[in-house]
Amino acid sequence: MASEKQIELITVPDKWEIPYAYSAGETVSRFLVELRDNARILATKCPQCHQVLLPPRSFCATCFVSLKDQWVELEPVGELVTYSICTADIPGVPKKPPYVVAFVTLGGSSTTMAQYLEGLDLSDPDKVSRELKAGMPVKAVFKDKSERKGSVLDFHVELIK
Amino acid sequence: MARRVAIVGTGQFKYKTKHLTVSSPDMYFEVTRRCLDDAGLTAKDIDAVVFGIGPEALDGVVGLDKWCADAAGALNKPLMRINTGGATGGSAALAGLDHVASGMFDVVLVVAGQRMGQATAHSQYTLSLGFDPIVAKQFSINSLPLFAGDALLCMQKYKFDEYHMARIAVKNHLNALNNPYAHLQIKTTVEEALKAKYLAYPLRLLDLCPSSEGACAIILASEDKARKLAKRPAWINGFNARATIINPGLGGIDSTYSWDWITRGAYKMAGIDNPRRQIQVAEPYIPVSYQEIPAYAAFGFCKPEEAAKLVEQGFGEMDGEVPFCPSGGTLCSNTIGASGLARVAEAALQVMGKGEARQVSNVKNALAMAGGGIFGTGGMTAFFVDVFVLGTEPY
Repeated sequence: MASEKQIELITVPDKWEIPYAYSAGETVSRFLVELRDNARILATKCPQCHQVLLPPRSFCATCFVSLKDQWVELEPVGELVTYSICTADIPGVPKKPPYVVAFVTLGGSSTTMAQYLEGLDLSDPDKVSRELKAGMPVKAVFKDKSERKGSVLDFHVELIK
Repeated sequence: MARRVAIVGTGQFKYKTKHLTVSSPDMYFEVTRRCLDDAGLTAKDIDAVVFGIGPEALDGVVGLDKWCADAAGALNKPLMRINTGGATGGSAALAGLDHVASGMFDVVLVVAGQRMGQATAHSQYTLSLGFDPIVAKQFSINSLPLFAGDALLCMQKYKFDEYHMARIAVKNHLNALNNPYAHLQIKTTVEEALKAKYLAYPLRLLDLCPSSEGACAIILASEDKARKLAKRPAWINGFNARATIINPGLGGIDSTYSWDWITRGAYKMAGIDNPRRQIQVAEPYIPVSYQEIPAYAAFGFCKPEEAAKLVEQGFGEMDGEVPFCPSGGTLCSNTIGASGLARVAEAALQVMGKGEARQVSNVKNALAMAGGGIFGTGGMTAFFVDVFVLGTEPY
């Protein structure tokens, strides 16, 4: 028998290529359609605890009640709760660095949603790191109607100067 | 608990970037064999197996349990597979505990692992596949921006800065030098840690865990069996586990917000009312340095406003008041599926007096914690937390 050191160790290459189409369901579909058709941001509001969920969900996990048709329209302005300046290149994720992922509340929503924070000069990411602060006001900026696809990418956020 | 349960054996398989000498079944066979040897048992002595494997895309095999069940000693035995992301190993230990405490089984093997190195893509790409695909994944989210955004929240709340994070990072890296199974073995200093490049502000290279392959196993036994099998069993005196939702919009909560009340539940069960006096060592799941700072407060060792001060005083260092992460922790080895179980195994080793070069003196009670899932995105996904209190005597 050959000793371990003499064995050529093989790795077997493979690749998963599985296209998917995820069902957004009635609630999130309405949210996405409103973004696309009317540039409006809708959320669901729990009638019991009054939490406003953005992105909307069809139920409140805290009260465990259905939020079907419990819609509220949100003002397209809000607050930067936290953020990350992403400088690592991760092949396969949609965006090339540098980019800023912001976690924002909009129109007084109780929950944050992730969004791209655009309109910043990212040539010196460390400088942006020092300048951005939690609590800064942000606004939603929609793409032109012809470019909106019924996706969370139909808008992004920018700082309100 | 219906019946007392103790850990009577542990086994680990080196955590490293990629193993070439073992296939997945080879690895699970080897770690299982080591664990059985440690407890002085054979596969015949095992009544049931709990198999912890994290998300499928990390290994690149759907249903790895099917390929490796026999390698994990489960041939013709009851087998349950557990997956709660990073908490998988902790949740698997909890399932094993339930098996024995309920009286269903007397001796249960818990095996957990992950082959993070098999994906030849960036590990953060495979981790990005775990996000809500409808409203969150579009934002190129992976663990880096999540932890970075969460670190910023914790820095505001607990009033610490990059120096404190570097102190924790360096401590855990130096601890790993005493653990032959640890992946990263880096002798470093606070000055070096603070000069390392940012991977995502405010997190620098040494603040973040590596992506590791490896496996861990433990054997749980009922009281009568445990007393026969081990000279000094590690009694599981308290535990608590919750699926939480963490969204920073909800009052600015951070990833550690639930750790105090979950831990209090485990403490109550184990009769711990003064953790600073009663717990001698803690091995929580800390994949990124900053999380250890809120943990000092969450585990009841200080008030939230005192946590940064404890870092400055070296509270969690090996010669400090309560050593944290003596194994080097998840910061130095992160196998996702096995990481939670490795925390439980390390706490057991400390209680059993088998900590070798990293043994903390006079351990009566040890805390272990596993955590995993996703926090902070707009999509609401669960973050799982499992806490265990192990003791030299049953409570």
